[in-house]
Amino acid sequence: MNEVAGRFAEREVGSYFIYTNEAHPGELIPHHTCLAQKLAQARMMQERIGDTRPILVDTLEGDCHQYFGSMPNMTWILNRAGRPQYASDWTDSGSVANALEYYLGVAIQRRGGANVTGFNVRRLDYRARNRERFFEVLELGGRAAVEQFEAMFGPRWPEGDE
Amino acid sequence: MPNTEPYKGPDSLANYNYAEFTAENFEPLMRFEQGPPPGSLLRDFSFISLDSGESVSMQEICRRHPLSVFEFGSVT
Repeated sequence: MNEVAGRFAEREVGSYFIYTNEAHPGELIPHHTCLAQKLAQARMMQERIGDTRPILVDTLEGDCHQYFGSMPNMTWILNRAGRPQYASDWTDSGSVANALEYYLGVAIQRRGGANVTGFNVRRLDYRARNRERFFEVLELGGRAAVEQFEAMFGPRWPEGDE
Repeated sequence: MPNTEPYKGPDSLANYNYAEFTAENFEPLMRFEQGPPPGSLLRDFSFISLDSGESVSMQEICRRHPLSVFEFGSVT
């Protein structure tokens, strides 16, 4: 997502990371009990994972995250009026890039005088699975985070349904 | 199974910040279908900017660009 953020920044697209609850807390990175801890763990992510986008830390109660559906790694695209244009229940940089290209194209059409209006679409996008990378990040939280995940989905994940 | 009950407001602090990833703790939070519909007018939210430490408004951030991408997540 850093690459997509950089590529589309030149086309006036803003990209942000909203820090939520810990999806897979463990003994090394536990669940949040105060805002100072949440801020510290957001800073840890910035340093360890190297996210270059501005990080916005949600309230301890997750007011924004819960309003948008509280999925662990979703992405929303909002227009200048703050209205949702795109929402995905999982983040995939290819899906986001496709959506941005589409909406930027609509803006060009409008500037050219096209009379266009919005309508709703439901579709299923596809993403590559990367088990090694997923467990690498999961292990940051600690052994407990890995054990709890495997207890829910099985050690052979992602061979079955996620 | 995803929770299909209408969204009534933030879940309790302990339920939201669960200590263990279990189906009982995790699944009630999976409410993607209860999020705001495309094109709808949203309520505003405040965040703390990690860089500046200052409070920032989501609507104010949106006004900076024609489009803004918001990825939600955590280090874990």
